[in-house]
Amino acid sequence: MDSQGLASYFEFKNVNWPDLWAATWETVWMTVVSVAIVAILGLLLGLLLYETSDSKSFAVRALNWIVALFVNVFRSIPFIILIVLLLPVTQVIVGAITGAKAAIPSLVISAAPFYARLVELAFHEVDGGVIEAADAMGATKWQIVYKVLIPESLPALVSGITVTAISLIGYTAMAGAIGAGGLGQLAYTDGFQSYNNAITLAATAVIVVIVFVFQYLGDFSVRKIDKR
Amino acid sequence: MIEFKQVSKTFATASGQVDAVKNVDLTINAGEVYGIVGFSGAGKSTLVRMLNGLETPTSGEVIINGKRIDNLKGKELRDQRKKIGIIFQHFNLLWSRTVLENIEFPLELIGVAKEERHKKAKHLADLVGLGERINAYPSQLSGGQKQRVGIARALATDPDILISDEATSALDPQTTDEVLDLLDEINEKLNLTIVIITHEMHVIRRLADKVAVMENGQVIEEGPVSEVFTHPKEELTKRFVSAEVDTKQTTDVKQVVANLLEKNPQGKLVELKFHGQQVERPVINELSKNFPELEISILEGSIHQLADKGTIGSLFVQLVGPVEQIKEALTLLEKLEVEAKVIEHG
Repeated sequence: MDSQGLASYFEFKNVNWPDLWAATWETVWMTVVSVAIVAILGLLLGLLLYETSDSKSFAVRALNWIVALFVNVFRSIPFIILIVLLLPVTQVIVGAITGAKAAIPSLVISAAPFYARLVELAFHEVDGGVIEAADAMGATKWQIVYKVLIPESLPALVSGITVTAISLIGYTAMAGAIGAGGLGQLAYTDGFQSYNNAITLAATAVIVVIVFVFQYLGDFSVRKIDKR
Repeated sequence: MIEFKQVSKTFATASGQVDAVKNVDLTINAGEVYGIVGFSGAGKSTLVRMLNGLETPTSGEVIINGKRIDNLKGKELRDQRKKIGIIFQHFNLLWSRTVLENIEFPLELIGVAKEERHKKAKHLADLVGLGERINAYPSQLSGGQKQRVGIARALATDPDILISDEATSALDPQTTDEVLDLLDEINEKLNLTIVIITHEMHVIRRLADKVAVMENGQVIEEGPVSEVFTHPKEELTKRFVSAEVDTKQTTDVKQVVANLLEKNPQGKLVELKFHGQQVERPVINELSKNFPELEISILEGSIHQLADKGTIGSLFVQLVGPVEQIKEALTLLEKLEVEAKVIEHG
């Protein structure tokens, strides 16, 4: 198999287009599913971090400390190590250790703590005066969360999930390299291991397009909702 | 209707205990516009925030309509808060909501149906003069308009009490006057009890029936505005009042007075102070009728309208003529209940 030379990038006859298409959908599927779970989980974790910060109660401070520790530990583990580390957990949760589905637990566990931090930051950015006003009007804690905190920090929440989604696309490629499927696996096995640079280039191009689409959707939504 | 009984609040800070409010006794009657004036850090904001439980007193009692409210918690506290509207210095509107949605906010909190919410919010937007801008976002409004939204929002739940926490301090003088006019109108229309916290005596003069002056956490002087303005007792009150009333008594007036004194050393310079009904009396006319030989020249004067329809004014006049006539003129002024103070030469 001839793999040398820049011309190899353009030997598109070697690209199996239905395979590329299938891999694209696997990547999109892994990204969308993990982003959806991360958004919910991160929002809850972030809210927990926000609500438990600056408390006078020892128990609440202890809870904040535990959540923060969990977040910091999982945020520090390099993804490629985390995915290997979590193989037994994945086996228990999904019942398999390869395939797109098997990538979801590791993707979620690595990205949710990161997004939780962004959520906490976004909530802290909300004008304290507005929260006080809602408090003075007799709002319950829960009403303050869904009528003040979330709507008033929505642009930051959306741009945060955009950043998270883009790093998740990167993670799906890494997961692909160890059997999760998708464009990462295609580029690694059909491209790199088979000396087929055109496949690697095609997979790269598609990933770049996916990233651009996510970035555009995120930016567009932020512009749409930000009335400041 | 509102009573503070021996209320104190102590904050523990890094540098030790701070007495924000000390032994305050205060009664505010229903329908009154009550002003609390003082410099920042005097404790006025801390005191008033006890009315809706944003602060709790360290000791003492806060009573509204016969009900003790300083120890309320949970749902009882939230229900109490809904009866008190509050407007803030920095408006505290939700930027993510339109004018109409901001006004609807407190109604949403208590679960008023959408139709009714809309109707009420529209009515309130009209009341504060923003009927045309209900779909604008706060970022598209001027400061004065934002405060109008704040006022409409505070009125949405039909509160008995409206608290204004330095509500005009971030506005320019003209906008301040507009907002004060609006508050005045609302007080008349809705017969609300309004508690105003401010450091501007101008606001008190325009709106308040009664005033309390606070310094270092204590109420140092209290009473009807006309009384406090005309006969301030404490040093701080005098400073607040004179800053407001004698705005025109600047150095050049003093210069003019000094010049006149020099030119007419034989005459007497008299400062007349009027309050209440005396402003409308033709005092100068009386003087010139009774003492035709006296030459009366008016040097400087100012009149201020108070919210409780009282008026206070001051006038500098120079009386030139025979000494006995001047003496008799001063006696006549005394009879007319005008405070007259002879300003001595030099």
